[in-house]
Amino acid sequence: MLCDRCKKKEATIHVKKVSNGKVESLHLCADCAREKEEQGVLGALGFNLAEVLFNIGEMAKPHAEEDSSPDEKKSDPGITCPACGWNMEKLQSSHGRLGCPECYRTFSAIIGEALNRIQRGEMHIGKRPDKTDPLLNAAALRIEITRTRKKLAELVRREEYEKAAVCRDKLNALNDKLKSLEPRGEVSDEK
Amino acid sequence: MKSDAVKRLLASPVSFLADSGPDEDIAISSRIRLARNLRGYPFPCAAEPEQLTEVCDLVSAAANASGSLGCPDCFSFDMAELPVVDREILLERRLASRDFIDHPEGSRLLVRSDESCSIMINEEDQLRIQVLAPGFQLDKVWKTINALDDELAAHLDYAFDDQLGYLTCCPTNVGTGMRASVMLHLPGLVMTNKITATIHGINKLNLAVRGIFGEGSDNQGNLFQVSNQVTLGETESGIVENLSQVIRQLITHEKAARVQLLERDQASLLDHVGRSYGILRHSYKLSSKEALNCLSGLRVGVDMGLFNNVDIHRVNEMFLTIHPAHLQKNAGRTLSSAERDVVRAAYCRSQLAK
Ligand SMILES: [Zn+2]
Ligand SMILES: [Zn+2]
Repeated sequence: MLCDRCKKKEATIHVKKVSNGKVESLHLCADCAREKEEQGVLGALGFNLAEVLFNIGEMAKPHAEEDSSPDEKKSDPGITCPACGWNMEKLQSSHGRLGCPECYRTFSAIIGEALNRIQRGEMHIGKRPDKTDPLLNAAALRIEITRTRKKLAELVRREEYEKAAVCRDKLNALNDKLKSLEPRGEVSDEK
Repeated sequence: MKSDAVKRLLASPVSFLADSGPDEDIAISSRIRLARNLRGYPFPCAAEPEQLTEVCDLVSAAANASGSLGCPDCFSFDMAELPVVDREILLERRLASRDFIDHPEGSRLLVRSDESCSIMINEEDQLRIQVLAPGFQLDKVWKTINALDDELAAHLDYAFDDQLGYLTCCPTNVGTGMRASVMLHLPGLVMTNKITATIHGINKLNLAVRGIFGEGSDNQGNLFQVSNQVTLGETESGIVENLSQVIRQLITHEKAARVQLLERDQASLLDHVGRSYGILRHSYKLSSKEALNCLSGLRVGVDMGLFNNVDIHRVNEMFLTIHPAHLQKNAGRTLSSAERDVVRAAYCRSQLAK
């Protein structure tokens, strides 16, 4: 099947949208899907991003068939969440929504793939309910250090030295923090 | 009585529209929403009715103990008990989502009396905490909602994962669970045909732009909302900082576009503003589309200081109160579409006669 958008390349990503009981399909090649995703067009059209990614997961399965009729397509209900009973079928019919917090573990393979594409990494570095400093976590700290270093390089490149100085101070503070967490090093990146 | 509560809500000014805020000529309001769920309960889509009720009661109790939502004059609406028109009122006032009012069973809405803070209980997630403020002030909104979230967390056991952060029903919200957005009035960029390129550019920065009333050529009122899309792998203050940077640029672009319009074709701009005022002030039938577009024109005129009898906050409120549920609630009865156009025109005339 050819891509609905460029009509040249083979469509490998199949998006489904259920509205008022009617199923609409969109078939895209990987390039067009990525472009649409970047433009946020899929979201604007009501095509759920999580659903897009779920379909990629489906395609990766060995027994996945190229089937343009979603109604006939039976998804494998194999994985079922022990906590809430959510399965692949429900995951698909709800556009990638989950049944309970435990589902994140149950469907970790599919979700991991989704997060890699729609989010910035797979590591939460924000607020925590126990109010501990999020950056006390060494893994989160390293991510923040990498990002700050990139930002600093960019500021220097643009010759915005005042902002760069602030950024530099922040980077030093982050490195100090990481050193205090891991006294024996791994902070090889700085000097 | 629930219906009285909705009347009380209607009678009070909406603080995010009626109060002054920074950059309010272009930025109408700033909003942050946080998605939260409780450990040990399924998400609302997989929950039994009794579980939904339990969650409502747990969240209500936590909110009552908080400073922001604990005051005696705060509202608590059990959505299933409200008539449709009252639910629509809550949607039009941006206190509830379309999804929330369409599935009222087992869900509850808590609202602070000035409507600046609210919690949708059992929307897609068990808690959707919202803070709204006038103008462009995401920093302040983040401080407020962060404090409210802390107060709630002291009484609730949030579903949180060390690696993934706050666990949400949809993986597109996992991590911070945060959506920050600013509502902008961008007639200059629309009239100079720069809006499509602008939206395209913003999308490349992983931010979403949508028309408040309709997308693309169907946009009415020139109102747009810009929000973050990424929720995992960034800190909350990082999200606020990135979004704020883009909003500041957008405000600058919009101002430049208006200057350009004034320099190149002053008569056309003034004509648009004057006609908008004329229609709102003197017509006897007004569709929602025409009203929104005229309000946009009027707002430009107010920004330029052309009308000393119209206050920008009144224009902001009119953007909200010309919608069907507000018209019907104020009229005290159900109105057909044709009747609404007549009532809408009368309402606009009276607002501008003040
Ligand atoms: Zn293609
Ligand atoms: Zn589950």
